[in-house]
Amino acid sequence: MKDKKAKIFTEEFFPQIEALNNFAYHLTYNQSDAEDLVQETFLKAYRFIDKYDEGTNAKAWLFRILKNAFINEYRKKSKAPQAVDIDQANLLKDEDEKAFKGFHDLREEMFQNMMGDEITNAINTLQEDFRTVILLCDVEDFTYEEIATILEIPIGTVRSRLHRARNLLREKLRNYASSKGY
Amino acid sequence: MSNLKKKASEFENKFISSSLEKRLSSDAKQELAEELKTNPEYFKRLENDEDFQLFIRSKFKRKEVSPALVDSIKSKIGF
Repeated sequence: MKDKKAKIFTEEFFPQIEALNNFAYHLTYNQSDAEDLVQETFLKAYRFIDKYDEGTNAKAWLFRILKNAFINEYRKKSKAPQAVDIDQANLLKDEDEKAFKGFHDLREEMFQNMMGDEITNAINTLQEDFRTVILLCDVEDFTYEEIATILEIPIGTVRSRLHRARNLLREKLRNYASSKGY
Repeated sequence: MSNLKKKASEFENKFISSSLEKRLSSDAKQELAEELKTNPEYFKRLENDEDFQLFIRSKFKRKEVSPALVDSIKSKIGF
């Protein structure tokens, strides 16, 4: 049994540590807290490894554990739960059509000149719910179905939240690029 | 809902969402490719979402994992 656990950890779980650490950092904005969260995730994975089917989707399984640890343990002791800012979300409704027409903007030179720090900082300014779907979909390449499972929300909510998050991020990047004269 | 809107909505549900969710079979992908030739708006949306993903992924700065974290985890679970 110990050999089996070691095999799963070595071949399936440890290869996900960089992605988990990255996600944890962008949830907590603090490297030490992120490392605690990642460590807690691996300890929980070890404790509940019997619930994991070897050779299935280790990355999604671990991300779900990390997300729950963040909500149940980290967020409780650090601050009140964050929800999507309804006013901010509603404002975006009006912008959706405009943003749709401006999708190709991201291929323009002004965006291509942006540095990784600027893109990453823009993502970090998003509300937690919006930031999370961008990280899971656009950074980690999870499918909508996997994101729905990790976040325990309906797939339609994933789709609409991602649509809003992308439009909001585009708007932030557009404003930032303009302010820098790109 | 007008017939045109209904058709557009059905098309979106059948192909665009599924494609973005990476759930299309290879036959359906072929069918989507054919359909998109006659639906430039949908083609633009699909292309733009893919562009956005590539842009974010290529620019995003990932955090590095410290060897001490890996060692600490291995030590705690007894590996």
